[in-house]
Amino acid sequence: MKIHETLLGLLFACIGGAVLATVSAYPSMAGQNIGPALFPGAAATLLIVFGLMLAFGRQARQSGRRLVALGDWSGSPRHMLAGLSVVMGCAVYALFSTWLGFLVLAPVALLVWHLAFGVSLKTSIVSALLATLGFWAVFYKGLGVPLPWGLLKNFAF
Amino acid sequence: MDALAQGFAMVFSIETLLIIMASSLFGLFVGAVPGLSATMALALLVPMTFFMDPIPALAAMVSCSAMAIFAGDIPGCLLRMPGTAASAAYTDEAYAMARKGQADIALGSGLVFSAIGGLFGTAVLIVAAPLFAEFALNFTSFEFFWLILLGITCAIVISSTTPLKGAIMLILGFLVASVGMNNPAAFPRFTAGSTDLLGGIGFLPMLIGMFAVSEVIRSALDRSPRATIIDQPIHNVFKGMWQLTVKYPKQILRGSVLGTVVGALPGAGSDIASWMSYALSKKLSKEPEKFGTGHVEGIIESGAANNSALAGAWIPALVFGIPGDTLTAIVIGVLYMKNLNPGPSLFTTNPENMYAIYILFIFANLIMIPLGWATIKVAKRLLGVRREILLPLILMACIVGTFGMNNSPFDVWIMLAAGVTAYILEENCFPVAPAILGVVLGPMLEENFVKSMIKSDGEVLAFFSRPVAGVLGVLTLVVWLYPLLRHGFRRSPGRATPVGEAL
Repeated sequence: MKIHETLLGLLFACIGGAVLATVSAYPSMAGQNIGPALFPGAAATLLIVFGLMLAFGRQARQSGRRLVALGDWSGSPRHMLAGLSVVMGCAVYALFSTWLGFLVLAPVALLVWHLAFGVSLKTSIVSALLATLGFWAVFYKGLGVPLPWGLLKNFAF
Repeated sequence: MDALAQGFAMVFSIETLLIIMASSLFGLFVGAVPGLSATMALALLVPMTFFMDPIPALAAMVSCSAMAIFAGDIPGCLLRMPGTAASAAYTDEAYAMARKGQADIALGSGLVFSAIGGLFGTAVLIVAAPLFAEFALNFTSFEFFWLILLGITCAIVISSTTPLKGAIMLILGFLVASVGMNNPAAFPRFTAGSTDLLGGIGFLPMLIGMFAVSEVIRSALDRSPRATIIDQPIHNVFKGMWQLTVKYPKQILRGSVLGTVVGALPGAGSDIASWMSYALSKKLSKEPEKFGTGHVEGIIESGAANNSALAGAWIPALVFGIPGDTLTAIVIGVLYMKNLNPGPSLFTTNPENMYAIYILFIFANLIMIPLGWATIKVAKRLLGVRREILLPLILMACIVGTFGMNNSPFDVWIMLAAGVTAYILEENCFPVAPAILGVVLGPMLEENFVKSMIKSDGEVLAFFSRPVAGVLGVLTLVVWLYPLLRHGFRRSPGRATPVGEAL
């Protein structure tokens, strides 16, 4: 996924500007001329300068006309689905793991990822179930990580 | 001597030995699978180290990284796909050797001379780190400020082909490190009222996102066909190694020295050491025409360099808290997590830990030989592992590990955001390493600057008032101004005229 250097440079300059605007309201330290705004303020100023250099530099002028060019994965629905499943899987885990619980969510997520990556259904089911048990044994039983029980709270062991 | 004995006892406990063995096998496996980097192996280990004592945690880091760097040679040789970036410099050479039926020599050289390079780097670490630490005990915030600034400047200049993009990534790292109350004024910055952000953006979830999740995304979207393994038997990989040692002693020494020095420079890790060594080997070789046709000389030199760089990178990391590469940036995160804050005082307050680290390095490089041999023996099976099955497991390990560190779904969001951002930026040729340096060094830079400003009552010239600080300051300014000065000289009309004549 290629993004035009001008667009990226302007984006960085905007981030720098937003940071500068935010830190302008920060107070100074008691009895000092400096405060919590100094370091991020200096970094933001540099980010604006470098962002503009990137946006209007020689390389930006040499790069193509397209603002955003997707990779060759955009021509393959399976690869797009695989990429999307990675992002969505993480997001779903962050949102619902506490409610659903690891033992409910993990095998489903693993199954979906396997299928999205092009593994056969039979292998996906076996791998998802075995991997879930493996993670459970290593993290919950072995390392003592309190993986969420969620819906299975009453069956916790 | 008591400290040394304690160091031995810590390393050779049953728990530590088992962890060394497990993390070595893990490192060998990840390093040998193309597309899974050594940094990824270390990032995936971090959640495990959360539940270990300090020395076993460091043992896991040292052994995993050493093994992964070596194991990267295996797919390079048999598939023409480097397992890690550190093997990329001589992948074509090793592959050409494999095609000529010399895979065992290529892999054997990678193994034996990696171990020798690693041991050389360890020897330098053992000698140099305490000397630097003793010297650095007298450092004040002025010296540390300039040292960090010089370090990050070198990191951008050396490690990035596009310094502008490296600088942008460094600054983004600074800004990420600015979030939360971890600043000299303890003022909540960029928290947007969220209590989750008061403690800052978690370093470890971010690392896992940047080095593991981004790789999973890249692999998910990768449409390139599966490479085919060179099908030839691998016999005794140690055969002929002594003859090669006798034939190329200079190359081994040069690779080890260059690797250690380059590794010690902030931001320049095993991969850069390996490329530089290979180039130097070709330049100084008596048979440069053989390079690229399956000639072992470059493999010997850069194989020694990439593993010696590993130990070299620990020198600034342990003495100053300045990471030599992304691997040591992760290690620094683990050191802080284990209350072994890097710095010169680490050598005086906890000498037994330092001895344990030295012993770990020696031990890891020694067991690399039998474990590496065994890995080469099963290489074809390892390379046949289907990545489509492996990647979901890696992703789940990332999520569970990240979630488990604080039991916080918020950390999973950080991991995901870091992964997607790193993927997009890397696709656009932005190097990730400077961002990690920015996150690690940003708070140190700010703290030392504010301390110095308070000490000097806002007097900027005080930053140059102490001899070492002055030298470091001038050096930093010279490195900054060098491109401008060079540009100025080039543009001046009398450029072609010798100075004497011009006057």
